[in-house]
Amino acid sequence: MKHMVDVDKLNKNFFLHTQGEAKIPVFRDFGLELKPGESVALVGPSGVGKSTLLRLLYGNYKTGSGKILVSHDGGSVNLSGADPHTILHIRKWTIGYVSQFLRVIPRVPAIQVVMEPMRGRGASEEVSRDLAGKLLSRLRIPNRLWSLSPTTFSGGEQQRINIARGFIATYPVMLLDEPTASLDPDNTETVVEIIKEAIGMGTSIIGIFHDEDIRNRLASRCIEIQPINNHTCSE
Amino acid sequence: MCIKDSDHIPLLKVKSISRYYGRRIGCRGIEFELWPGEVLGIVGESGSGKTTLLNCISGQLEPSEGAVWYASNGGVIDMCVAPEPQKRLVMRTEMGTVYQNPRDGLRMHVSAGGNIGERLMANGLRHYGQVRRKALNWLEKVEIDSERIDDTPTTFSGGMQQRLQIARNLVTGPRLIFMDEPTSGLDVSVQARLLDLLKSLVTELDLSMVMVTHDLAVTRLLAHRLIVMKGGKAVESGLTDQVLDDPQHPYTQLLVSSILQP
Repeated sequence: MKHMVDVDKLNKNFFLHTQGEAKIPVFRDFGLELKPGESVALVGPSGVGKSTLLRLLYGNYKTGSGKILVSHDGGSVNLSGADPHTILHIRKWTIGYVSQFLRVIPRVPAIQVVMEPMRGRGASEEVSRDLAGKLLSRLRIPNRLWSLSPTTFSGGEQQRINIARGFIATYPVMLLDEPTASLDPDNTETVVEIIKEAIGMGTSIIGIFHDEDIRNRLASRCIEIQPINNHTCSE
Repeated sequence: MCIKDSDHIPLLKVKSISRYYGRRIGCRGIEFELWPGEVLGIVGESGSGKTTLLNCISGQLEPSEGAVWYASNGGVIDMCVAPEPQKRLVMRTEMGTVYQNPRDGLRMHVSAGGNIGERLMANGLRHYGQVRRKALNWLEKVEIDSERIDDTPTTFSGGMQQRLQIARNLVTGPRLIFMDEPTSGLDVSVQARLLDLLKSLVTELDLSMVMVTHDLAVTRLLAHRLIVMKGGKAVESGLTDQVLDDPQHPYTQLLVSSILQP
């Protein structure tokens, strides 16, 4: 069966030109395969590059060398070296991403922030608003907050806005960076349900879940990321 | 899932644009494509050639070399060699420019309604009632009180003038908007409001936009793609979040690491 994501011989270094030309290697010849409907958890110590990998898979970080093949629009696209227009298209239809940070224009109401991916796909205002409202209710964001900008929300509320925004549209692949990190038990349970439903509908997942119990409930296998060498070398 | 995007040809194709001022380089060898609904940010320090580049692609300055292919409603034209009347028509009906200083883009002693109506009338709308109705409609869209329709922009605040300029440009339904530092003269609360307005107009009207700015935070929120300029050349380009989160060029790294975090 064709893979949803196929990472082959991935290399990534960060070069810090403004800080004495430091070179920080993160991945060397890294490989990963994600099958349709599979849910994979990334494990490894803090700073090993789990979030970096998700960012590379989303095109947020630039690949040094190697391939990141993504099954998209009936074909296979190499994300590494793809032009921005193609990456935007992949983000719109194929790969969703829930990060730990919410970045929004001040003053834009929370419900609009959540609706945006659907509006971007061409769904009507009404349909998008309806879907957003259902998700927000489910995630226990009180109605009176919907028209306010999430910049003023608490950490847990912002995280739930992020999750609602990530799950309002369905994607064949979802990247999840600690989706339940700052949530209370009830909301954590809801988020686990939402993720399970997505998996049930055929979404493949690559996620970082620090809570072992949640990881066991959501992931069908784990991939351990090994530190390649932790020291920084100047050149 | 249905992928129905009809946007499989770029709206604008900039081919190796250079502009020299005598022996001095304004900008050199710039290339990019802009797709319908996309916002491109051009960033860099003062004197890096941002505005020269913007003026070359918006038809306001003749480049020394290169081509600007624009997919107009009437077919693809090269803006650099198209006959003047054809170029003027396209610029008037399908493009718009929002200047950093509203005084460059507005007629300061004509009423707000007149400023909006002017382009409509230049494009052939003659019915006064219709012009006024459209003007009122656009004042509302850019959040200017309709009672101010007969006041001149000289009586408006900076933020209102900038919003009026946007209304004046968008009233004729252009497909491509050029903006030169649209938010730089405004205080931050007004800036956020203008960003929100621009973002919703871009989505609602499927507008494409080329925006020159030195404010990286503005580009993160508004632009899909970035070109970083230094000394007239593009030193780095790519997806906005990729350029800002994983900058490759030393100059881009310096720019990004110099942002103040409030």
